[in-house]
Amino acid sequence: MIIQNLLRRKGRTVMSITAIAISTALLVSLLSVAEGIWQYSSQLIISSREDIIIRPNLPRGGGLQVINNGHTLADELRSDTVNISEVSPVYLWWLLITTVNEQNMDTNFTPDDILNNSLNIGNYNEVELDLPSSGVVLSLGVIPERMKKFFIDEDTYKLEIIEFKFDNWFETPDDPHFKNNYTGPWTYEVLIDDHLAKKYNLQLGSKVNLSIDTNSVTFTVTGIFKTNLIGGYFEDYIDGIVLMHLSEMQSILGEDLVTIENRTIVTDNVDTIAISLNPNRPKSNSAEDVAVGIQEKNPLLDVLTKEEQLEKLEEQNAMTNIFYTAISIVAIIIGLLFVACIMLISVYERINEIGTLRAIGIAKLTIFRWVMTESVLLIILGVLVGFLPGYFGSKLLGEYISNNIGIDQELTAFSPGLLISAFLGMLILGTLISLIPAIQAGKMKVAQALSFVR
Amino acid sequence: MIELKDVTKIYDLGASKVKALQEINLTINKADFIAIEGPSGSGKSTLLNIIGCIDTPTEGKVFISGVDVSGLSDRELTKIRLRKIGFIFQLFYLIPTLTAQENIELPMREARLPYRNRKARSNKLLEMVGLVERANHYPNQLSGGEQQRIAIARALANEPEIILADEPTGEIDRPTGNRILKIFKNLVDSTDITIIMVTHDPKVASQTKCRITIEDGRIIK
Repeated sequence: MIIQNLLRRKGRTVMSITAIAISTALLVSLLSVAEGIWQYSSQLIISSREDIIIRPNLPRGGGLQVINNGHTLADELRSDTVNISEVSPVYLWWLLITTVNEQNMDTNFTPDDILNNSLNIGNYNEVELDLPSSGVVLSLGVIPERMKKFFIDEDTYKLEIIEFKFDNWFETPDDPHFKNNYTGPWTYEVLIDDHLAKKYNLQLGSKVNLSIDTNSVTFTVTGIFKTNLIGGYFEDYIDGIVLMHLSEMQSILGEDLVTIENRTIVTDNVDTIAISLNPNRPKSNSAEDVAVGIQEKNPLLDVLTKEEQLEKLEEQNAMTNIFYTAISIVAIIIGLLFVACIMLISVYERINEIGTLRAIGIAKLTIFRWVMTESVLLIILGVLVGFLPGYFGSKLLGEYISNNIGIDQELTAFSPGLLISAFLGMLILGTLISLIPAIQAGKMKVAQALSFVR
Repeated sequence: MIELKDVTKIYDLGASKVKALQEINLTINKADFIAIEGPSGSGKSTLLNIIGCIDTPTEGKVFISGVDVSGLSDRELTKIRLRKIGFIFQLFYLIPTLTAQENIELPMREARLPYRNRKARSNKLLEMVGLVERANHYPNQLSGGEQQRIAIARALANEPEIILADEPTGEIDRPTGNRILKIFKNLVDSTDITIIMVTHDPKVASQTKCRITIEDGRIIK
């Protein structure tokens, strides 16, 4: 009788199932993407070689000066050979890159010249040159030999969501310019990513200028690496990524030395120090103990173990999850209320029928059960139908987000566990909302129901 | 077997109260075939509802087979309706999504009659009302008279003691109505079943054994 009742009003049944299917598809898509983002992000942390990360806990700009003697701090940390196996300081900032061609190779031009689009060459009149290519790059200042210790395999390094795959490396592994307070020779080496190489037609041996404000230095490309960035945010805002020696980057940025009252002091600013712990350290020296020790000596820094990074990520993810879940719940409630309305209309239309059933001896509870079953069945069918569009929806949404971020990575986690959770959640909520029409049908007074005229 | 003692039914409509029945005293025996007549709004249907345990009196008592039903719970009244009373309505009120046979079996299913017994009994009832060949038809595929005959079969599903018929011939033509009345007479003659029929048609009422006239909520004859 329940099936026949659903088939009696086919249009209404289809609309109810569709409403629930849409709610379910939205729920499944959003949760799948939220779970996918969490899995991707947490995997980055878990798979990295960094057991402890040190960062300034003030906003960028003010925070740079907090880690004074960062290099020295790195050396200081490195001297703890019991607990620490390697330390890698990193400086991350934006630089202007300009390609160098034959015409301007020997001239010291500045970014303003490029903007003015002209150059005075010797005795010739000012002529307009072919504009050299220029753009903005994300630049990493590293100590190559130290950074390499943090590769997760032979040629792969991960920095947050960016994965680097190196074919060639720096010719000079250490940091000679740093020696003797930034008076050592420059290497003038730079590694660039393949997007930048392709965009500006650069290859091994090409020359580029890296500059900020009026500081400009020419480097030689000694390596081209691949990243997992495919566009999106990165394509909109940066032209590529470069790696260079830490001290050379600090010098370009003026983060190497400072003169106070005629005294020159090494500032050696960095913005991240990565630490890899000694796997053979005493068992009593946990990662947390080491981190606490560092934190106590450097209270202005943020010292995070992997677990703490995961906790922070979980907190950030919680906000995203709450947002996604809230949207899903709203959609679910709307879908379920639609079904409840349809069922209430159905009960109203069948008042006489219900009165007859009660008159011939059908119990209140039986009628309650029939209406409840009809409503829940509609919801179950809707949920099952909604899984397929939910799957495709999660793929589309995940692709959209990863394109927006600019990474070549699937950000969906469509699992049986998710489907079961979605199904049970909808079933529980659906059962609760089905109580409304079921109670309405069950509590009807027989005489009134029989004599009701629509 | 049916006894009403000082039964009064008052409907509270908020601003006003309507006395549908006033101090009704009535005794109906087994195998009686009774017509309740009266003008529209006289209280006929209300009386039928109270006898049929669909409604409860405001005052007074109702006894069915010696049991005072006036104070029973809804659940207990439903059980009585299922086992002891069969209803036939003017508009037939068959369930449109069930076949003729399924409609007849509905009370039997509620009474937990096993499948085989249900089938056997419903087949017998279809035969009794002359609609075996219509067993798998839906109500919208049946004529008015056929629907009413199925309704009679449904009313007899659990072998009730009492049949209550509210204007059973009101929506069908006279020849078919006569056929219905013939079925009632046969039932009364062949079983101990009591049939109480509400009608406003004197010709229909004249075919019963006893006539009760009700006016303004009171039995006048």
